[in-house]
Amino acid sequence: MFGHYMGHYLVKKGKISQSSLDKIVKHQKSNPTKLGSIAVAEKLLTKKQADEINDLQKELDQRFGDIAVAKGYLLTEEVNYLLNKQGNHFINFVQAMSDNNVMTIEEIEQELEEYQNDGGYSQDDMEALKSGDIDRIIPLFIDPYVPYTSDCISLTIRNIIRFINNEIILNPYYKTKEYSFGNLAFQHLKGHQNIFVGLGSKGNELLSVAEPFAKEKFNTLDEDSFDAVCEFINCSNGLYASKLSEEDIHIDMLPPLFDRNKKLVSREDIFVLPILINGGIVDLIVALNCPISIE
Amino acid sequence: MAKILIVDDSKTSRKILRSILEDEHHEIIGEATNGQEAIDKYKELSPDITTMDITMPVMDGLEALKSIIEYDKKAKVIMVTAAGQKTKMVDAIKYGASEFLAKPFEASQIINILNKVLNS
Repeated sequence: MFGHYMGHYLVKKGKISQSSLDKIVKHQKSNPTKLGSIAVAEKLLTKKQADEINDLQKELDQRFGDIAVAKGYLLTEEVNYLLNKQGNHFINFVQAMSDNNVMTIEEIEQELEEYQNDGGYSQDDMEALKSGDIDRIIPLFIDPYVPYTSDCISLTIRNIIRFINNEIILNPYYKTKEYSFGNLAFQHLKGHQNIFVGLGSKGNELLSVAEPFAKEKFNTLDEDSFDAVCEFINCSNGLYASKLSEEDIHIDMLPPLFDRNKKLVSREDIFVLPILINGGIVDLIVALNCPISIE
Repeated sequence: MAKILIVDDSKTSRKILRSILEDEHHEIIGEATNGQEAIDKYKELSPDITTMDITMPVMDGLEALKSIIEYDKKAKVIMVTAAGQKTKMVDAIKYGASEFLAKPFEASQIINILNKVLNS
């Protein structure tokens, strides 16, 4: 995870080439990093148990290790052993950079300092980024204290990582009362809270959501590919609605819709979180309890 | 092998469900994209099992379920829900739904539930 943030930063600054970064990413992928794969390799879980936990993870908003412990498949000590074995994302990244002769460790340290300064990150923020733990990374890019909106955004990000692409890069959110889009898939949630959730892009970037979710190659953003984006939003919002219902907050999901070349207009703030997915920006848009018109 | 009618307004969901069910050698005898179409196709095709999405335009899955059960008390209808639609799930039980499938789809879950309904 951290490798993507740092790698993208270095490419943008012209410090390394995209092909070098691709090589690093490939290097990191060749070593198993998923806890389930390591657990199977270490013979602490069977493949069937790991698959079962992966399936449950898609339904529940919980970590692999926590589910494995709850199911009685692993002890907490075993999870800690596996986490240790999994290694630190940051160290893996530095190792891959150095092994591939892209940068020396000293050069990386210098770049890290610049990355920290440029991003205005504190030492704690940097530790969160280095950890690769999405739950610690998300609060760096959104205000975690906005009721419902922050939770909805966080859960949608986790679902993008689970179902769409685990190599996304988050950008800081902004608030606006108008949002112009080339393409937009969205859904209204109505009930105890009225929530608008959308994924928007200027061009065809939404294909990077449609294709992995539908497991199908689309050439253009047409009705079928929009349908896939809408269905992803529907599934993700379903998980959010489920979470809210545990707090006795009930919402009903209206059928998701899509639109093109218009703008969202609201009298209240619309939250927009730009996410880099597969080289293109997809905006996650969330608005709470405010009427939104499409003009 | 069962004859199955898939009802869902999302083409993506229909495609994923069809692929999982066909891999298990079931026959998809029809697809419908809203509740009204589902009722018409049910009467025309008499499927062994109908998978019915809840949130759909024109007529939702609950209304269609009610009509299908009125028409055929032995109809086996598996409701498909995005998680979180608990109130609607309770209504679906009242109206005679056989089982529930949660989105996003998981092949193992679908196969288990389908076998359970087929053997009931």
